[in-house]
Amino acid sequence: MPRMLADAQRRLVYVPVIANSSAPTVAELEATGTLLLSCLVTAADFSLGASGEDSVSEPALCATGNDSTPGRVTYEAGMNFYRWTTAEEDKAWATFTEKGVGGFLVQRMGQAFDEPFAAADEVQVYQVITGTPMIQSPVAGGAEKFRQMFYVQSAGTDERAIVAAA
Amino acid sequence: MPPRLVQVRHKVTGRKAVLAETALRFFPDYVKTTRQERLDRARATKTPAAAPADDTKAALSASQKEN
Repeated sequence: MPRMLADAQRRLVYVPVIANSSAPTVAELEATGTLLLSCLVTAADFSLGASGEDSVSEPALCATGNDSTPGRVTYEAGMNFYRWTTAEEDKAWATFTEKGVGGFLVQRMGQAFDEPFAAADEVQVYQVITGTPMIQSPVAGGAEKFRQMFYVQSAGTDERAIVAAA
Repeated sequence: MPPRLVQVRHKVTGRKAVLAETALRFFPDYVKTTRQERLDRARATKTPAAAPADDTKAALSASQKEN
């Protein structure tokens, strides 16, 4: 079987509300109330997902080694958004205006980014709260951008969610 | 004037969320909650300088209570 290639194969959307983060529905992900982010963010400096976990080192009385176990997971979510010249296109800047905006980031890998979500798609769902948007320094020959950090809430997060039909 | 967060609800499911007021046009499935409409009406009678911060706090506070 072929490898899962990365180019243009990530569909990323922002959804204000999802009822069940383990089984988002097609209607929730494809409604007019979602924002397709795939072409609004740079591939560089994109991070979304678990980035590590604490190590709990509490060996038993009978242990001869420094046995440890995995503790709390740390999630990381940050990306650089392009600014656009018209208000109608500058959707990310208008949506992520300040810290405290909640919602869900839903990502699908391995299929064309412009292919709509369908039932049985495997997706990663992250419940997030925005941090303060950070305007980036201008780069010669580059586009204006702002960096948006999202604070992931583990209770509404599932990295192996399956899209439900309804 | 700084952007304002407002409480909204999904037209079909009724589930609530907090969105930037400037983003509402991109999310036609969501409308302001009754409470938010009431806040907006109250805001119209306040001084312009004091209103935005008060409303944002109220929207976040209402959202946190429901969550």
